[in-house]
Amino acid sequence: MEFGLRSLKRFFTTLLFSIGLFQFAEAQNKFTISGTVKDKLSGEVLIGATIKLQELKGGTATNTYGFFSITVPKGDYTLLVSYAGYNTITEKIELTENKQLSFELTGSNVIEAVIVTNRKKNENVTKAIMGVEKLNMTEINQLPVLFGERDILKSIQLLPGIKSAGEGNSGFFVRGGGADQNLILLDEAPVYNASHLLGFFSTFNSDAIKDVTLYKGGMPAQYGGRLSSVVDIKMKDGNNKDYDVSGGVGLISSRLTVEGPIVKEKGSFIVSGRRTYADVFLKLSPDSTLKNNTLYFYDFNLKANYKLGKKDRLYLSGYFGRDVLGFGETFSTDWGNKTATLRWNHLLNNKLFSNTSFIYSDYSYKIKIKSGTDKFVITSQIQDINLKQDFDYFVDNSSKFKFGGNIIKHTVSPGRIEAEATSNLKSSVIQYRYSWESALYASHELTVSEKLNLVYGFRVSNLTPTGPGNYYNYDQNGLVTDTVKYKSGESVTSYWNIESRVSASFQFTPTSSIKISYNRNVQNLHLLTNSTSTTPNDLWLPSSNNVKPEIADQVSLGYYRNFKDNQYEFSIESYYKDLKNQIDYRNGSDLTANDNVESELVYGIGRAYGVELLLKKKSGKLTGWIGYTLSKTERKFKEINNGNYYNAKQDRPHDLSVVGIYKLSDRWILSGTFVYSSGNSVTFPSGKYRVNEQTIFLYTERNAYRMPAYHRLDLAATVESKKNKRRKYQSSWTFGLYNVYGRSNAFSIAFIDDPNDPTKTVAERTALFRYVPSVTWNFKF
Amino acid sequence: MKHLIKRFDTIKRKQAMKTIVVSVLIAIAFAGCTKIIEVDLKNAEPKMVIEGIVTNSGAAKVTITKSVPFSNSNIFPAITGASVIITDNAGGIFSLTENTPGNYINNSLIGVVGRTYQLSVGLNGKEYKGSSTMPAQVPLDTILLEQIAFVTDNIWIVKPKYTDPPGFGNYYRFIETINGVRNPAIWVWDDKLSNNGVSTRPLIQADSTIEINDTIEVEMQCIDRNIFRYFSALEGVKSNSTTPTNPDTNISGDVLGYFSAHTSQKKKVLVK
Repeated sequence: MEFGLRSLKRFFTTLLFSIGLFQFAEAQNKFTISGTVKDKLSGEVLIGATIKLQELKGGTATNTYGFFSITVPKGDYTLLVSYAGYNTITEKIELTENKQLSFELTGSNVIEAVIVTNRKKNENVTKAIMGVEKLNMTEINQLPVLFGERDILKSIQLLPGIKSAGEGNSGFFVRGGGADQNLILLDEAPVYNASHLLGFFSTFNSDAIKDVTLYKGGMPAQYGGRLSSVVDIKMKDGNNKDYDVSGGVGLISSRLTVEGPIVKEKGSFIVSGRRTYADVFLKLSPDSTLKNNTLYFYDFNLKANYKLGKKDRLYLSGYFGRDVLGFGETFSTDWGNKTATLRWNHLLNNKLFSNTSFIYSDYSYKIKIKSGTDKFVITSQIQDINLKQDFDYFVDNSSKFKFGGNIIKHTVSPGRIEAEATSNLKSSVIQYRYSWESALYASHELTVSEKLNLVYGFRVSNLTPTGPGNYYNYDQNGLVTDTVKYKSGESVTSYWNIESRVSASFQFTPTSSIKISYNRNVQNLHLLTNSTSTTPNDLWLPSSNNVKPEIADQVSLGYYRNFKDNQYEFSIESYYKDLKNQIDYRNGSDLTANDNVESELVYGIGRAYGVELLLKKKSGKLTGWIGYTLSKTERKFKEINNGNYYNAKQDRPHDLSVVGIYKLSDRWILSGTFVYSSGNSVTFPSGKYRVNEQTIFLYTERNAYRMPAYHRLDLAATVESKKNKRRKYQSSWTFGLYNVYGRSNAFSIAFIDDPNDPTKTVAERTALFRYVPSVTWNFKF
Repeated sequence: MKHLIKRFDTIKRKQAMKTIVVSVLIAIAFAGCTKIIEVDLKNAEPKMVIEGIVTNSGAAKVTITKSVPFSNSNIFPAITGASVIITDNAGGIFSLTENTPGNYINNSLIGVVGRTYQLSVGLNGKEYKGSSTMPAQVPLDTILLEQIAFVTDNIWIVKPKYTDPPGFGNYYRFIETINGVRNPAIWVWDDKLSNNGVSTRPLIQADSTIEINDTIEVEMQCIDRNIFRYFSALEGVKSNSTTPTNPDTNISGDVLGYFSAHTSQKKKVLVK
């Protein structure tokens, strides 16, 4: 800790010194080229477009807002601006003063319209950062999916190191972590429950999404708060040149998006909505009780931006989604997320870019029960208000700093019951939990030499739970030993953590490199759910006097090699992760509307390790990849499995995915995915006994059995309407078949009395989806 | 001027959109399909199972059996010849005699509210011990019946009515018998959300078989916290809602089962 603080001080001193230094450097005949890179047709800024001076080593890339800055000595240069799938701009410049340049790239007309990544062609080899995956929306839209519903969270599960949480499920596990250890950001706002319809669909409407980046290791210091991964999703800004209407009609839902300029070239908006109509079919059912059941979801994405002048730009984005599930009048539940982000980009000078964000995020669920005289409503909510400041400081062509901080106020309402007087439950409020989560970070991206690249940084994070409220201490059996009452704003305890993040790449030939990284991540919000499936009744609990911050340390090592002029990418990454303060539950625990929910928790450790191989073909008529993961993930709790290590439920040794997209002609695109994985770890009975006048199963070790292996092939074909240059109208049809050879993959295995011989017990497998065809019609004009 | 024309064009396009006829959809009904499969399960070493009860309304009973491998029939071998003694904190010592193989009984041990009972089972030189305190009895007023629409069916629910006393820490367990046949469903709850007031919390069962003219008997037990936890865990395991595990027993010596001192009241009602 001492050492950490000291090196941290040194780091900040260096940072401040170099900012001061740049004024001085400028006097030494160095000039800055800064500006933005956009798509020529829509005016959407391009994230990660590269700017290179042919005469010099290094270069820079646009940040999330399309801004770049590069400072080099006076001279004549050839400037190259490139972005995958777009024509490169080459421009000769005579640099004798600071220049502001804006570039508009046009999409390339080459047949290889399918691009596997947005990245610079050999970025995977040269950049220090590792464990990062970028997915392109065009590509996601062409992959075959269940019911034809495009889904970014399901598509990322095809990458090595990322495991699906179950059949057709948008939940996922990254490198042995839990589903709650993924930070899912939509325009910087955390999304607490990223699934619709009990996990079958993700909350993200891919029509409104511009860019998805997933970090499974080597997280940059600007991200924090979860142990396993960061999924950073950026919404489209909207076309600022022309109006566009696009949408789609599918089997499950329909989508509509409208975008256009507010004031041409100065500001734009996008509004996108989606709704399912399964409930419409229910209404047609002749069964009167089925008729009264409801099941649907809808969501809206909204975004607007406006350029206030040369140096300022405002962005406002929002998301609102809700699921509704009801059985007649008796029982209904609805749940969903709301997020809103207001951002202000400001250019302090041509090298220092500032972004200030004000972020609101909430997740809530409501359960309504009405049965006879019992009428009550249970609600629960987590709400975040977050103020965030980020700076990008572009020192020169080989050095870039990112620094900033944020402060979040979390308000958790674990459960509120409103009951009518005739109900046997009483109206009551489980006390709210308040906490402040704050962080300061800085990171430095440095090209040390032509071969050596470094990214290193720190994140100092704090969590302080505060009153008003009663906080409890518990004995070994989970009984309250004493209660401490805190006044409003009074801090209960405070956790400080220093999270170091380092990665380095050494490029020993022009097409190959090795990379190494270490990072520590801290998680102060813990998801409590003892259910084995995705449920909407998620309860997030901040660290407290009883619950300590979860900590993960990860080291990884990788080898990267590109072939055939970067047409093929190959990588092998291995990792080891150590987990502390992990959470599980006591037997027979009750997590719903329980003021003493912390008494139900037990704490342990974990470890995860594995190797991930990826071979990608990035261009040509056929593109795609093969990914393979060999991994292990275990947990250890004093109270579980006799205190021995056991497999986490997401532990499975093998995961293979093969993805292929084939451009048959100008109009036809064929695609296919194949996945194979070992079964998840499960606990099956090893005996049985009699208690309470019934047969009860006897369990020995936790998760010592394995579900049957899972495999599946999906195919899709997309046909686009004939291109007509005079018409803007375009449409396409996508036909898909999920689980082509109809394998009965085990969704669950239950042990039941043998229907033929009730004195015996047998295993019953439930399989969900076999041969599911789909058709989707998309249009744009 | 050019901008204006283009904008007008856009508005026309928007109107065109309204005229689009959405193509007919194919609705696919999907449902899970089930199949009996072979699963290769390990055979756990047989474990001793002790189930002991002391009530305020009848004989004290202790049943001792053994667990069997999963593939066996549901026949559980009795453990005979054990020495079974229950003592209380008022100086009472009660010895239970083996009535039928594995069933140990003492007819004169009627539990008293507030007393703590100790179970001691001696077998092959080993001693197994458990303890339970009989909570105060909360009177069972009446049994109400009601028919409700649940998911896709209309089902009968049974609502025991009682008044929870002031102060938290009351735990209840209900056993339902339909025409003399015991319902295996487990209903246990505490007074966390219904403290100090009238409760008619229903015994809901999605696949309830109750029909008109059935005779329903409900046994209401006031149980202690350990037993509440035991049955909550048992219910969780049975309903597959949590990672399966053996409920925590309150008996020492690596055995399965529980020892409970509880109050017991029964009431009958005819469905009509």
